Amino acid sequence: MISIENPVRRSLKHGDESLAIRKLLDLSYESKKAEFQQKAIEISRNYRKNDSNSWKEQAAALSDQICSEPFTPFNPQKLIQAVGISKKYKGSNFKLNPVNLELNQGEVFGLVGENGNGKTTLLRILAGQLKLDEGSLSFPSFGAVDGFSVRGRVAFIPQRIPRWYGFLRDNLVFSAALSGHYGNENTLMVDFMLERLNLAPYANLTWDQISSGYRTRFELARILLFKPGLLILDEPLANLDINAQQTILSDLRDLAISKRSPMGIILSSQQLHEVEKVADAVIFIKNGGCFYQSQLGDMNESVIELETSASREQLEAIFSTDDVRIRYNGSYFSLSSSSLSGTELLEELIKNKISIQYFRDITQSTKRFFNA
Amino acid sequence: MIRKLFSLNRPLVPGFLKKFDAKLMANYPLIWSLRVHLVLWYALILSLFTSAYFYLKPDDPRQDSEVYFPISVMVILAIIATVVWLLFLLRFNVFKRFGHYKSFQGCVSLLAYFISALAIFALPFLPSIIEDHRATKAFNAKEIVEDVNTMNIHLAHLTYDSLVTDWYRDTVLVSDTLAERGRNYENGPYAEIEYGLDSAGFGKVVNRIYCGKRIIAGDSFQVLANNCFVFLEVPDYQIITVDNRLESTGGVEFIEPELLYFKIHKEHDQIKLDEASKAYFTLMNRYNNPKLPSEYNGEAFVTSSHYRDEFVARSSFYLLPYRIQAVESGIENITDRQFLVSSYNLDFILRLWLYPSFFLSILVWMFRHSTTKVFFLSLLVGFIISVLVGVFTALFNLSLSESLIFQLMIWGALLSLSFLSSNGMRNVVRGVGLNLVFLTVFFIPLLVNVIYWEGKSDWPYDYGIYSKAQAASMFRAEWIGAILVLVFLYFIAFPLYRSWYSAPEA
Repeated sequence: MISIENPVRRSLKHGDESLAIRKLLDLSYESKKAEFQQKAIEISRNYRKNDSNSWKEQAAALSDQICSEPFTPFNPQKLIQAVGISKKYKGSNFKLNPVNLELNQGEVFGLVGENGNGKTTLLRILAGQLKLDEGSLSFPSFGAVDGFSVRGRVAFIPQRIPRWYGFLRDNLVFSAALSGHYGNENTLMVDFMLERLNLAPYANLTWDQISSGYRTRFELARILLFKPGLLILDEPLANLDINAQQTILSDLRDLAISKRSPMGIILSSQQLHEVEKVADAVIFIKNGGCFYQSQLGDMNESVIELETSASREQLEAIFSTDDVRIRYNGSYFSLSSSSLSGTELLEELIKNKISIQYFRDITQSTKRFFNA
Repeated sequence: MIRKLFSLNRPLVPGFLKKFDAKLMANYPLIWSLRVHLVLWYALILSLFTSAYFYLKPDDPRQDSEVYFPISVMVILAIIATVVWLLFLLRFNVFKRFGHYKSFQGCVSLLAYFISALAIFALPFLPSIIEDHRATKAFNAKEIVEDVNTMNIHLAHLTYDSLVTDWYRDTVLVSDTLAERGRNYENGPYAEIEYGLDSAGFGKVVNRIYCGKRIIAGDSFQVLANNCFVFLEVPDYQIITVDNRLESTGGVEFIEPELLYFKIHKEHDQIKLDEASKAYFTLMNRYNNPKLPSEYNGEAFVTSSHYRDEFVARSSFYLLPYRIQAVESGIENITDRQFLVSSYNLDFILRLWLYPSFFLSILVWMFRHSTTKVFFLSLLVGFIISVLVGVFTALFNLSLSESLIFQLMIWGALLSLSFLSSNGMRNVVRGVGLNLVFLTVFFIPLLVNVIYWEGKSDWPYDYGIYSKAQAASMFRAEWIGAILVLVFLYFIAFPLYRSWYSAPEA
């Protein structure tokens, strides 16, 4: 048993009110106590009403109370093990070359790559929707269960969210009941999800009445009520604005390490920077094969992205050695070097008074492969 | 517009049912998703409205029934209700969401679909039931029989002078052995009388059993010699003749012709014709079909053919003022309505209700447990197999038993197909096999039963006993079929559906 530090007070101290509410809701969920959850939901509702600041004291007090309770840390188990899985479609030239993958509870796995390179195929194989041609796929933590039970514990959210009918709240109530939350517990869990994913104002709306971003959130809420062991998301950020993308990603990160129902998350996206911020490991898929896996080792070459008013000739004059390679994709330069680090490359640019509009060190990012 | 209709918050559902619905959703998601409670509610509402309409609608039971129009309307309503129900069933599916769903839940789903289908398919029967009830309430069967008897007596007195008084004579030779029959054949043809006590015809050769039956049941007889009998039959005085099923429901019998004969000839002198006429016309006005014109004198219905010519002649003149056909038509209409739903056709009506409901529920179950593509493919394959079986049967001139055995073999092949390993994939062929096996498992005991009875076609006993035993056996086979569906679903079909649906696609 351990005590945890109070993330709500920390967020409130810096004025991150939305984050504080989300952390409070997560804490109440982790506590496994209905009364804490109910109070957190009430505080979240007060926060949304925005009529006074009293909710802050209530949130701080409740978070103190929850944090004083002992927590049992969970022991992450191996969730999925894929060894050499490959797939070829009949009548198509495309082939997904053998991919190895391992994921533990609480981990987030990012899958990046250009369109048409096999990301969705790989995700659908992992979700049990597509038959693999070669290799093996196992779920060690699920124990000896049949395929139906596995499918029930592996949630897959496709890029195009399937249409649902009726009211948003009814759908959540149904999902909660399906996963064993009955009666008052059902109401509590639905209210919790509505608050946690900021869906409460849309609870009594239908599919046609909400935006595609909220449909994604709804789908996430619905799936989370199922308490899946493994959550697979195909391009979840595609329909979201930049703020919503970051919120969803940080939510996913927090949900993955939930001590009450930890899960593994695999997601594909084109938003490389955002994904890399939250992912424990990233796979870069190119031409149907695993081109790079960030867990496997460090890069031996630094790469930076640079947007500048300087010309290519000016840059070549600064980095005259053969070691620094300069590429331009029509929008920005990418500079790679095996002897200079990203910071050293930046220092050289500043020293030579090059104006810089945008700079990013992508040495550890899969973005470098898109530039390659 | 359809979307708007579906987004309405159920204006016809009362508050208590909405609360119940919410409770079901939060506590019993499977039951809630089957929508049985809503189907039952809407069926009840629809039944009440339509029943009220059919009860209050002005209707004279003596007139021709127009029940087939409202039945058609109700059939259309039932079809619309089924489509709406199916659309709502598309919304939430526990099985396809890989929720908590095992064999027991599979059986519960099937039973729930069956109950819903029963409620929907009961609607077309409502007009008949109500019409039957209204006719029974307006005219009592016992009263009708007594009134018909009274009218026949009055009529006989009123047309006394034209009554036929000669008894019909049927002279026969009795012979018990085939050899004797063969010898006597030269004297007159042998009467092939298999059932009943039909008249043999003058000079015909009959056996002793027939002769005994005629002696017991006939009006009278005369012995001319040891092997020569004359059977005597009184003229038919049952002038108004209606459906004799009224006897069993009314508990009163129509007066037999011979009793009428004696009664009329004995009492005629004491009868006051004015009073008889008045009494007859009172009853005639009560029963005659008002829609028929006063000059209507339709085809005379004669129970005994011996006096047909005389009767027709009498009808066209003496009986014309008494509107016999109009009275018979009125009473026939009343009895037709009273027997729309009765013990005579209950078996048929129940099957007409249960069979479509049962198969709709199986189809819905199949649809909810397989992919759309496999479901429709299964129906298509089922149709093609049926056509091929027909062609094969005709081509090879198979007997009924052979054709049924062939169908059993096809079922066995489909069963094997649904067990076949598909290399861990959601195989279309396996899905189709599984659907067809499940759809037709009910018929297996019925097929076996028919094959068994086909083998007994040389049944040595009375045909009535044969058909009764066959009907009872078929009834048992139907029950066994229904139980077999549940057992098959629980132990075989559901685990197969579960593994098939959760398997990955190719």
